[in-house]
Amino acid sequence: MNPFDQRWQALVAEAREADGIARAELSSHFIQRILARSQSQVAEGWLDLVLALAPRAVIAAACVCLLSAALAAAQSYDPKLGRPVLEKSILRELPWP
Amino acid sequence: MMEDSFDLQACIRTLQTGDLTAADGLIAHLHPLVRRLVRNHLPRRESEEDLMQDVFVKIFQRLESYQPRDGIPFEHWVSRLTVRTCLDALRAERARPEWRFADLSAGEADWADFLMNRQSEPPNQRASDAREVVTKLLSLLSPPDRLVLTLLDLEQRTTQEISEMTGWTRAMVKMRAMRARRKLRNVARKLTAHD
Repeated sequence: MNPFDQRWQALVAEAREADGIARAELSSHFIQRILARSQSQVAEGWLDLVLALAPRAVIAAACVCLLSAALAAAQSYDPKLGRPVLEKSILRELPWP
Repeated sequence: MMEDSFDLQACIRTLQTGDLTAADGLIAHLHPLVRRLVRNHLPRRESEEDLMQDVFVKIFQRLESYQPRDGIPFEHWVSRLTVRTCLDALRAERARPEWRFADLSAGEADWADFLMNRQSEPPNQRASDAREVVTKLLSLLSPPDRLVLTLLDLEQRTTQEISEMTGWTRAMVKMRAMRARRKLRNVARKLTAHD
């Protein structure tokens, strides 16, 4: 342990003494406030979840729409829809006498 | 006295059925533990009482899903939830404070000088001054660094306990503590650079 760490431990040990001096007190108002908040937030739990997930759902839906549009656009320019090459070659290779 | 006859498991079972009549007893039982943890990990701008309320509200909201495990006391679950709530609050705090040596009281300045080896003997000052210096120095660190040093040095928890509370591995706890001490030395050096 280096000198700084030794001094830090001495400082922290003294600080712990202060924690022992501070006593905890509990008021009835404190309990009432917790109970009131617990009861009011039970119903809000689902709402919070929906509000938290809604922006992500909108972004995901927008991404799916963009992908679908890109796919549809790519398919509309498909070169396979042109005249078959095979038909031309047969006509050229087999001339009638 | 209430603590002597307090049946924690019966109280939890009652609350898990949705009956809040036993809530007073549980709050009174957990109050010292939650207060001590919140006080040690309190963000600068947050009220201790507000954060304690947040912790207790979370306890009641999540109590329904609490499953007791053999050998692991209920207080352990509460400690974990409290520490995570405090860490979230610390992370939500956008800016870290800026302390200067001139902001320290005479007693605090003596402790800061002792820390940086400008005084050979620990000052004969109040413990509250030492506590205040520790709080100010820790507030200059990032939330995870502050958390690990508070748990390890101030609360004297083992690396195993910290690992269970935070979800970090023991190796991560040790590594983070080592780095946090190094950063602490740097911030202490800057704070005491008053000459």
